[in-house]
Amino acid sequence: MARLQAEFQAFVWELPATGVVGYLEPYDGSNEDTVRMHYAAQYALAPRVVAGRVGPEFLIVARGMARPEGDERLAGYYPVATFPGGHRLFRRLVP
Amino acid sequence: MTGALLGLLLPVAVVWIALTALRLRVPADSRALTAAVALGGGIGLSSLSTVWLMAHWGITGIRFVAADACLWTALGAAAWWHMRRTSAERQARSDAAAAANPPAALTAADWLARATFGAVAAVAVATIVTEYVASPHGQWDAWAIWNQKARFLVRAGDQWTASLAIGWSQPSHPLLVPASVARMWSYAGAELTGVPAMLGFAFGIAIVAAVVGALAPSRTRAWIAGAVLVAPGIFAQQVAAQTADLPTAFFVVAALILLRPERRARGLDAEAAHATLLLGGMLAGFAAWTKNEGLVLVAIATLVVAWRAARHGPMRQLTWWAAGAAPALVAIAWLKLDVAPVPAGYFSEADTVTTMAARMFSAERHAVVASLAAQHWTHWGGPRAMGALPLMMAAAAVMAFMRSGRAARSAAATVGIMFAGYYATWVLSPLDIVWLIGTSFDRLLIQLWPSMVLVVFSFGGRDA
Repeated sequence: MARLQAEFQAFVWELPATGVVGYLEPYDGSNEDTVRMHYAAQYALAPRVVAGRVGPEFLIVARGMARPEGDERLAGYYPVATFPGGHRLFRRLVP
Repeated sequence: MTGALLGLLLPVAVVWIALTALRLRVPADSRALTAAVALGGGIGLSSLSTVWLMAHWGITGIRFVAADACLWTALGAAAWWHMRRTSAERQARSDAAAAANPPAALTAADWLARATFGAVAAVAVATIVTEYVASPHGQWDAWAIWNQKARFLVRAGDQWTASLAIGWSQPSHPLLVPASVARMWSYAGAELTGVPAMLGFAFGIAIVAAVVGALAPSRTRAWIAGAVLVAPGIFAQQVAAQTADLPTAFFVVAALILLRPERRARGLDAEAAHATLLLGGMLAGFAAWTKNEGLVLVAIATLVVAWRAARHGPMRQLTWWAAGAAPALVAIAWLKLDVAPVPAGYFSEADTVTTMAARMFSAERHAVVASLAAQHWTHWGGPRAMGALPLMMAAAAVMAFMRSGRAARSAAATVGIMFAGYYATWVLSPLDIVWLIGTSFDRLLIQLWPSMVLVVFSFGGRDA
């Protein structure tokens, strides 16, 4: 948990101080590890709300969550940054 | 960590002084019990002032620390002034009590009991340190619920309500633990993992001090009870968990200790008896301000106080009890009616009376719940404590029916009804029952464990 939340702390500088941030749910179904990763992102990035959906201006794509051959859920988003641990931040093209 | 420790100790010291000023320490009580009650009262009251300052007024950071320190220093000065007025009388009573109860020489059996407690406690402390090193952010619920809410409070102040949108963080759960962590983080000036760990450790010590203190540390059985209390591995794990179950356990057992009828029978004057009821009500209220399960304690304990008041009089007793519980209950009402009017996570908004009644009267569901609970029942506490829970529950039940256990009867009944409440929740919840019982049984039973130990070792009718 300590390692995971440290990985997501890196997003702090790229995100607004408050508000809702999207989080891409795993493309192949949830399990305890993927749930833990989402919760760790939320724990690290409070007081932002890390919602498990696509739509907000910023979208966190944690490692292994997007379909490797290209994920259609990312349509309309462009990559902003890649962080240690393989997590990525996307931003919506049109607000 | 020094700042956090100062933040923890300031309200505790103020409550300690207030207890002394109100003459809440009586001769048969111990400093350990007084210290435990001061710790619980200090943490509980300061959590209320923290929610008021942070969540209502949006005061965070150094401004919060300044306001909080001024508030508690002023309260401490007032309590100190009151204590000095009554110090001569108190000293005379203390001297008389000391002369009446000279310390007895310890036998080999007394020393053995104390050494056993020391050895068991040392193993528990080693387990706590090991758990903290392995998981400095605590168990799953600590960072998914309790410490996360503390982060929202300390980072966002009155905007902490954004956290209510996070379903898994249990929006309706009360705020004693998150507010206490947020307060100590503010004093520390950083979100140190050691702060919630220290809070858990403080509650662990307070539980041991309350139970041993209530059973009179001069008696060997108090130390045996202390060893039995700490021995199950789950006790140390819950101390290190940074969740709210162990704090709930403390408030439950402390409230039940202060509800002892013997305190009045030992000749407390009216002022001290009222203050004891006030304090008992306050601690019961804090159980509910820590976790929803505490509301069951408040309901049952209020009935016990009402029954005693109706039977022995005066009815004013109930007023003192209610006045003690009122601050926490007002805070709970504000949270549940105004801020987060949603059902607890183990129930569903879609549930109707019909669906819940169908679950409650389903023989098949009762069979499944009873079967799952029985599996956890025998294994509760870890490998070193296999079978300890059934044994202690049976012993507590026997104690409640014995003449020598009369004093513990209301505590035993309260524990029994609380357990029945947990069972009813398992039956009524729409959640996956295997998952629900598997993830909650051990935690819920630790809330009742100290009270069970207290009941079992209360034979003789004088102390609990």
